[in-house]
Amino acid sequence: MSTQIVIIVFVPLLAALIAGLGNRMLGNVAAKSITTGALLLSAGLSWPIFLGFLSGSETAAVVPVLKWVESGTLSFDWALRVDTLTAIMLVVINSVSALVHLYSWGYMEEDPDQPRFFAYLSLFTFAMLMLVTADNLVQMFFGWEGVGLASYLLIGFWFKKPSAGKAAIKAFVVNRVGDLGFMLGIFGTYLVFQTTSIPEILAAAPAMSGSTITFVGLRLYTMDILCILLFIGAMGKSAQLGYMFLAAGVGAYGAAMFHLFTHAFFKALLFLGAGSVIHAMHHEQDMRYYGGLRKHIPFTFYAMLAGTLAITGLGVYHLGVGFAGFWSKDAILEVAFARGNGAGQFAFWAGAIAALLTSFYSWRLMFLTFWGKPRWIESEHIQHSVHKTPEQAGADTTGGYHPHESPVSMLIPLGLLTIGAIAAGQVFAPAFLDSAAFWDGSIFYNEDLIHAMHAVPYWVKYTALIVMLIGFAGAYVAYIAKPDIPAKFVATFGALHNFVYRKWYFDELYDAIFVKPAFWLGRKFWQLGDVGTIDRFGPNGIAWVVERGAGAAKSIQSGYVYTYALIMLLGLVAAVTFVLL
Amino acid sequence: MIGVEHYLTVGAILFVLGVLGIFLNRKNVIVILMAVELILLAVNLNLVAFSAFMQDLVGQVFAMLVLTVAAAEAAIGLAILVIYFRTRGSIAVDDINRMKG
Repeated sequence: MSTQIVIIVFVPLLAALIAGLGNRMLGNVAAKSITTGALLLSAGLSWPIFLGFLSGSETAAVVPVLKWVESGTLSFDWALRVDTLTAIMLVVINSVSALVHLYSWGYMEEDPDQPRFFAYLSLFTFAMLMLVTADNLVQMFFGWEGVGLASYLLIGFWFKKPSAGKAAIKAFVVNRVGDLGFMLGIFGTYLVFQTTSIPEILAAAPAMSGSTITFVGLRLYTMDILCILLFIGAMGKSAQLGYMFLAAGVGAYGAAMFHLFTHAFFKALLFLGAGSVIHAMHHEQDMRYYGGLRKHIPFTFYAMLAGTLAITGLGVYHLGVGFAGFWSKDAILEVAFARGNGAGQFAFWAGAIAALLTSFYSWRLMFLTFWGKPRWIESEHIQHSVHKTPEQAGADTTGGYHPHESPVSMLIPLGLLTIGAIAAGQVFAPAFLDSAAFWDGSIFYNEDLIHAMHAVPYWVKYTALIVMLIGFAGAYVAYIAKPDIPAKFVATFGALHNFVYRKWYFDELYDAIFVKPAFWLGRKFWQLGDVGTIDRFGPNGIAWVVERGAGAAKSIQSGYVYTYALIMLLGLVAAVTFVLL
Repeated sequence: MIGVEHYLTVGAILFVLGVLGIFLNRKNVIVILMAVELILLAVNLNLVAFSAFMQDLVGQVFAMLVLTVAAAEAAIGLAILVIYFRTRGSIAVDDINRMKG
């Protein structure tokens, strides 16, 4: 396994370097083939490791790579740690990343900078792999920073657009806020445990108070979860994150990881499916301008349908069948209920409400996009494409536009992820939820809690299905049966709508608290430090001295004999003075 | 009693007058030549004064040499001046700046 894990982690880095440095010299096809090939290799090597842990033939191992720091009691090395947790993350990251690479062949087809994009993607993957295989907190921080860097590069990929550059800087600054917390966490952990090695911390943790265990454990999870979310969502926000925290918070780390695992399939599927729809609709991203796409892009439609059924958690307990989200989400709700205390009850109901909302907005997406009448002509993108205004199109709200199904390179990832979204829960639920041997000590496995989880009343087991159906019905009424309801709602609750529409003014809040001060500080450093000190006394100062000196020397060159005589005299006086003294 | 210091003072005054004559004079090249002569004479005065003070004839012999050189220098200087006036039609100091690069 040791050779494979080194290949898995470092081949994406190698591919990123080749594609990034070779760039246009290498050409689109070569760069894309190298990076995609590298990721397919990594994904191909990850699955046997994961299946090995599943069957019990693999055990946790640490593969040393290089010496790093040896200073007093502080010592840590570059090492790759593989246990059950890592193996799960390896298959999730590498599979999704390989599919995203493949998908990007089609999606980025017309972009002039494809090698750079693929290099960023592979670099992102490498950073995530570094993060999840980290043996110590400092190496984990390295991976975390790598993820931050890669997301900065990806967000700012179209750097010629000012909005992209701005968004990239914003993401970078906001990431630094997270860094501070991470670093303080590392310092604090070192202070308490006198080590940064993760296994040593986990071994020492039981001697500490219970809260410390939760603290460390939660943090490890948070990082993994955040990393995969950043990757799949590319900064997208996700209600599913809440579930993972919920499960981790009530102590069901296995359920949290399981949801992360299944969620990787259907969330990636939904994101890639959304990309496919945008591709079909001439880069229009506002689904209020979609409608009736079901028959035009059937493959994307069925893939998105599977993704929606998976994220809303369709499944029936007594039949023992369900989509991926059913198994993991149900487990989380049940485990929260089974916890029995007030916090667990609260978590259960909060989770149920979240499931209701998820179902509502997921079906809203489906109904607005794939059902109803086409509303395409209202979109500026479509207007540009068909060269018509809405008035000219008249009753034909399609405007004569023909959506086209995406190329094969985009459909293959959709197809594979669809299989995952349908089957991943069913296949892997026993191992993730019920097998302490599978986890093999890589996370804290609470056997009693799992028994309690299976013993909850039937109405709890059906809660997820019921709220899913309610959400479905609500979305159906609001967007198919009586489409004027949303408009009335907005008219009645204008202020509330505005508040939510602007994302609770979170962006504005972040802007005021972090981004603006960072800009201000940066400007001060620039004006006082850079321009005021370094430039002033450095390059500009030297140039100033040379210029003034040359001016003075020029005025001496008058051409009058007496000037030269004066200089000679002064020189003579200086020389004599020097000799005499 | 007139000592060597008095001679040296007169010599210094003459020397400074000569130097100022060169640098402050902006009108006439002949005055510059005269100032140069003044400097040479100031130096001569020093040589003679020290020669008498130290009872050493070498100083007075050297003063004779300087007088000879001064005469030759004055001759060459005046010759240059005449040639210059022929070509440029002026010996005003302000016009003599052909050395400017």
